Amino acid sequence: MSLPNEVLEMIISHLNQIDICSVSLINSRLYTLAKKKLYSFIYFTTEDPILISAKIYTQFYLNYAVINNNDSFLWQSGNANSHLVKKMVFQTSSKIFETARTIYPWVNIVAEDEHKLLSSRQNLSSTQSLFSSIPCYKMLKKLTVNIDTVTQEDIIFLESCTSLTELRIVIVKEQMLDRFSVTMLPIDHLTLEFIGELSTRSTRKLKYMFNLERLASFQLHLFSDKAYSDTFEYELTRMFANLRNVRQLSLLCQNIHFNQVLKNLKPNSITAFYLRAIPGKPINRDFYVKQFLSGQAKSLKKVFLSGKFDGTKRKYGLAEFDKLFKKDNTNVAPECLIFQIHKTRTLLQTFNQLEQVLYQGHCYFIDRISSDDTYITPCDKLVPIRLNKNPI
Amino acid sequence: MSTPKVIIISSDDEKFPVEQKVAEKSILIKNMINDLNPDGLEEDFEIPTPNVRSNVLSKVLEWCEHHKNTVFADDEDEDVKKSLPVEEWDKNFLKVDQEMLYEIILAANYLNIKPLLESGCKMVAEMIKGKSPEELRRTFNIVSDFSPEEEAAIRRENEWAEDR
Repeated sequence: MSLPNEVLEMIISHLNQIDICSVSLINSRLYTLAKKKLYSFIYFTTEDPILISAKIYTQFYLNYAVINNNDSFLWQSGNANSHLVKKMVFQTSSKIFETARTIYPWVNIVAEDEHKLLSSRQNLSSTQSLFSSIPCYKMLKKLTVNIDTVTQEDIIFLESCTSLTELRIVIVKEQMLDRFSVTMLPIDHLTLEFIGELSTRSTRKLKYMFNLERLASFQLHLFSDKAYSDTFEYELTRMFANLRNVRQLSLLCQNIHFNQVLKNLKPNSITAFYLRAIPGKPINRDFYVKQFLSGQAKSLKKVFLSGKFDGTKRKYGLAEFDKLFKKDNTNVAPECLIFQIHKTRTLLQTFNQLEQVLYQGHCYFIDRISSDDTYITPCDKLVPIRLNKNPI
Repeated sequence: MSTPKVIIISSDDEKFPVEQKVAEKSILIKNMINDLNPDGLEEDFEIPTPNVRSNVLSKVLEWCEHHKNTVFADDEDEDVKKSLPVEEWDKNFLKVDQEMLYEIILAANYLNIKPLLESGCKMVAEMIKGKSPEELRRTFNIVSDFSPEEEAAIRRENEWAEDR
């Protein structure tokens, strides 16, 4: 190839590990370049290899070379290419995580797994902390906790998770929140899921529990369909005013005046917005996004709207945006989508930065060829297609 | 007086007069214009590009002309950009023979036109995807310089990444 190395490296950056391996066998020049990319970022997973191969052409595999945790990879005999490794990520902070840190002191090693502390305490003695089951909890980046199973001791452990950037809390009884404060942790992404009710009083206190001003993404999911009072909305509005740095916002709730609650957000700061009603519950308020997000018209890139139960159980919140990626060919029959495409087009008049719209169970990607030439591509159905209508 | 043009001269001395806006898709040219004309262009401005042949330059300028109003995303979202497939227009535009594709990539690299370089690299990456090393050597007309032992050693070394 008559291209300079810097260009070849750019090309290789668009390839996953399987293709890079093929490239490394072409000739010695490409071997050197391919190796450099292959070893820079390594992700250790416990996932089933079959599941991995289904995802091998997604973005993630352009960033990382993925290896199964059980493999003996580098350390046992020492690997000749280990000096190329820049970062290792462990999906689970297992024993080899500690081993890796001693063998490769120059490598940035992190545990990225989302630990889920949702289990009941039955298997633990009453004094034993949930955290005692996680080695290297201080390196933990993502954590999900069910606040109802957490003890005072767990909270002390949690406060020392100084690497924690992503926290999801599931709350059944909001009283349990009272003893909780993690304002000193570097949390950028916070998800609060209230299975039970969220009261006016707790809403007022949220700003003392979390460093709201720091957050880059915030998800508030309220699964109760009770009617909220005006004072509740007032407190919620005030709480939202603290979200000065939020770029991504997700709300799962209804019976709230979104117009009122969202008016305090910094203009043109939100890039991704997810809103859906509680599946199966009637809505009293209008989901009129053009109105309540008009202040974000110049920044909004991704939006998910589902005003009614559309038959799916998907409720990932902001993660929903990443679960879909653009495909060249689509199986969606266009004639049934004219209404939704028209709706998307209407949204585009207000939100001129939109790139992705998820609306009524379908995903649309928006391409701007030039200022007056815009394409809307319907994509991946959100509703999984049922293959066996007549089970044998 | 009409608006001054930027005249880009190819390696084989062909002159391409274009709007300033079109020429400035090339960051190299944009910086050159700004450095040498701090008060803005007052008359036609000639820029030689000794590395770019006229048929490649005309192709590159066709791209710049088409994208003169396109606003490209900033560098901050590197990951997002990487995951997006090549835009339809660029894809058709880059359906050229391999030599031409390389020359466009080289020119985009030299003239510092990032979105075109990116599209070109993605096109080459598409040509690589899913091919065996033998198929790749045939596609790109490359002769292997490995001995059979060396090749076997690399295959062993790669095992951890390929065994999916």
